[in-house]
Amino acid sequence: MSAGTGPLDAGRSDDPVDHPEPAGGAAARAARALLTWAVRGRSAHGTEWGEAMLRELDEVDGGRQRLRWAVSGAWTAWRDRLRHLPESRMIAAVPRPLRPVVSVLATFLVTLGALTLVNHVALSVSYIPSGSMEPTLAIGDRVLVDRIGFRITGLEYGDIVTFTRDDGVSTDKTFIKRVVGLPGDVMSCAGGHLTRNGDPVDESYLPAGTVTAAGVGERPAADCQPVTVPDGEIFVLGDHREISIDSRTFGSVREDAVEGRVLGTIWS
Amino acid sequence: MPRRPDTSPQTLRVFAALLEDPEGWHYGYALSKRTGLPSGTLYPILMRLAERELLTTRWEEATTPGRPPRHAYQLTPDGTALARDRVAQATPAPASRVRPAAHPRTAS
Repeated sequence: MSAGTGPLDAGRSDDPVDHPEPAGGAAARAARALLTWAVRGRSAHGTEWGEAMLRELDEVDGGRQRLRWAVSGAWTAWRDRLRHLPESRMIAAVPRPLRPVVSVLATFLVTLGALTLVNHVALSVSYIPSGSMEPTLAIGDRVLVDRIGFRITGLEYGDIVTFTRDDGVSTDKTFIKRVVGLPGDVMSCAGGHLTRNGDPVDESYLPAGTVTAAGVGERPAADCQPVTVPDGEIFVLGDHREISIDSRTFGSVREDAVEGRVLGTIWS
Repeated sequence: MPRRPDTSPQTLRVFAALLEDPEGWHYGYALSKRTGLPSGTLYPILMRLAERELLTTRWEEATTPGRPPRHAYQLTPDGTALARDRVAQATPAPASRVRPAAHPRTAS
């Protein structure tokens, strides 16, 4: 047995010590924290074998040796704890013939939860309700929208983005348009063709013969006067120039209103 | 060659350590020191042996007041028999047949 190495053995022992908690330095404390977590998790007590390993940690001399004991034993203790977890009792409570059903159901629910999370955070599928992006996107298409990537790479000319703005009916109606102008660009469509900083824009995604005009109906004719895109905003147009209500009508759009970038059509 | 159960070098070392005092109660850390096995190797072996009732376990009140009980292990008669058998089979085999000139493994 260890003779006089622990603080308990070293000094006087007139005070009853309720816990053999040796000071032992950072390594010893880390060892205890790790093994306690592996053995007990959030419960007050672990399994028989886990508690045995934890108790034996008090006997190990030296901080480094304790750390070795804890690191090596943690996996064993953790597995032993999992074996005895209430989950196994839950499964045992289910009648044997029903177990596959319950298992499939649980898998389904967990998957659904995970997909919902991904859908909100990373990727989502949007339905195209209008023809303003025709012929690239038709009414009824479903597109896959990347909600994270564009924040890292930034937006580029030609990207199709979804964004929200107040259209007078709803404060956050979702639009889907193509980015044609970035901050600082001077946009114009004089002569039926889109120009950026005075140069005609190569818009190969449009059908041949498309005319980009100021707009139709009640839109002011001044729409196609040169405008400079302010900092932090983007200039967006729908591919279906004759009917699209876009930056020609409501001006440029704040970049932070962009929700995602369209990766492609998944179903049309 | 099909491997016989309870013949891994680690298990044999545990058997040897337990057989040093076949009737006695052993503690985890002492076994770990004697066998040189880390806790993550030693305890799974002890757990398997206890599950098969080759080993009895008990919580032993500590001699120092205030300390929590310790977990202690003792070979059952079955365990002692199996341990003796495995250790006896293992010791001559590698030394004499496979590597005659090898350094004999000393158990202490």
